[in-house]
Amino acid sequence: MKQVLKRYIDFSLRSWGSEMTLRLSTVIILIFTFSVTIFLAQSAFNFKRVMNRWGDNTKITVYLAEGQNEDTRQKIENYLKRIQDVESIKFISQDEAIAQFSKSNSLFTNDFIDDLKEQEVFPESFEVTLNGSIQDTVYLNRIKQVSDKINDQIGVEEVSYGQGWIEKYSAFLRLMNSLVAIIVTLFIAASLLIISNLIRVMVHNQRDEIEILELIGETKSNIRMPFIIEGVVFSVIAYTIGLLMNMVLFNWIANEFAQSTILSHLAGIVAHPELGFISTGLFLSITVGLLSSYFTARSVNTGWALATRSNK
Amino acid sequence: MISFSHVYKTFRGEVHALRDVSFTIPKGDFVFLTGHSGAGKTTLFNLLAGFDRATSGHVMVANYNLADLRDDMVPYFRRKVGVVFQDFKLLNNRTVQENIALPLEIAGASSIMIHEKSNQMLSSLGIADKANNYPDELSGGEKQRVAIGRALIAQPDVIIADEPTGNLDPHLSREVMNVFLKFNALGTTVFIATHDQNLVKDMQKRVVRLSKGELADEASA
Repeated sequence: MKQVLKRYIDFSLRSWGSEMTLRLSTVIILIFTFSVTIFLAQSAFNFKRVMNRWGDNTKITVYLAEGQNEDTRQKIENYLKRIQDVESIKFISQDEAIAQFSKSNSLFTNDFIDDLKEQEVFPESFEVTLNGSIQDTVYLNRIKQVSDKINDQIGVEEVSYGQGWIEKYSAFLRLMNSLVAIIVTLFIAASLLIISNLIRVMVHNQRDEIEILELIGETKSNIRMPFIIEGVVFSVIAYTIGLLMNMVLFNWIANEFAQSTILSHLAGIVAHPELGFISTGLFLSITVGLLSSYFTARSVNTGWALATRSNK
Repeated sequence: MISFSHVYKTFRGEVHALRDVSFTIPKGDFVFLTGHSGAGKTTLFNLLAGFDRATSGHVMVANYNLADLRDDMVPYFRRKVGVVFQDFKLLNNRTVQENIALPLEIAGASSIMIHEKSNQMLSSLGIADKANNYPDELSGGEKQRVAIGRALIAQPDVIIADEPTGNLDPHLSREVMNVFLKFNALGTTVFIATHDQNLVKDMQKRVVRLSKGELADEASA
């Protein structure tokens, strides 16, 4: 290992001057592709976190029809308790509903609230909290099925779980995940080509040296090794810089959210890349560097450079 | 030590560079390979050094049967043969000492050993004062000596040289030949391709002559 690193450092220092422009331009392009890839992936994660946060608060509200007696109410409650995935059930009387409304809408006058009381606008209801997360399509379908069944019960007026926004947001999230997956794949493919191109040019520029090393008895793997390490090092450098840039960017976004009156609740959700994300990214960047440089170096360094030239 | 048996080498377009070449060189021998331009000297040289493979026939060098040699074993065979190229093939981004030390570095020798042996070689070739120079800063004769030093430093079983005196004046040519003789006296087999008939006459060694890709004749010293 020590010998391999020594060879790489030696190789890198010797060829740095002649290929500085190529190396710098490659690293800059790689930083750009990795930064965009990390930004998209982390944004997708953050959207998921928003969805999770909202998913955690998902409740089915079962509004009871007007004038239900205690017996019917008990039957409905028992029915709800038997449903799988129900975490808790809370009965909300008309008075509690009005109190909640007036608490969260303090701008309305007492007269207006009194009018609502008289008109009995607020029906009695059960607030049902479920286990799971709504970002899961299967789970979303289950909510729909459960809601439909509850709706069929005698004494139930309406079932609501915020259908409109949940379904739209869930669809948006699925679309975004698919788009991010496609774009990330494209950027990874682009990174492979960029590194591959760098290695190809470097091998071409050093073909005389490679040929001499072959003739003196250097093994193919030792000749290729510096090029392979070069690909990995460039990939990891670009990934690290891209990651740091994204950390600064997401930190700034979180701070901006924290200072905003409307979006302050999102400040805690906008997160830096976490350890799992960083490790996966590092693994991917090493893999991208390794594969692109290995296959490129392998295809151009056959061990028979002189013979290939003579036989042409 | 070196054996060619019914060796053919055909390049693309049915160009027959070598045709049915057979000869044997015992261990410790000193042999010249001669012939006109296009006679097939460089092709034979490349087959001998393991730089290319014969189309058919058997080439045995230092107990390696090159026809059956696996690709991954070829570099290890090449380390057994010291080669001096007509165009030197020095690495221009390495100093004279680094160029000479290259075979030892490739073989994985320790830094101390590399330093000691390369210093000895520089002294014996009379270019110790050029140790830190780059090939571009050397004369043709000095480059030739660096190339010879690189071929000899790992003490190979066989030394082959392609026109090693092609760029040198008669005086330097004689000096270079003396270096080869010195190593030959220590038991190393030496095989030199040249078209310099005067040099061949002076040295009074065995000669293998190629003509149009075929073995024309052999003359013993």
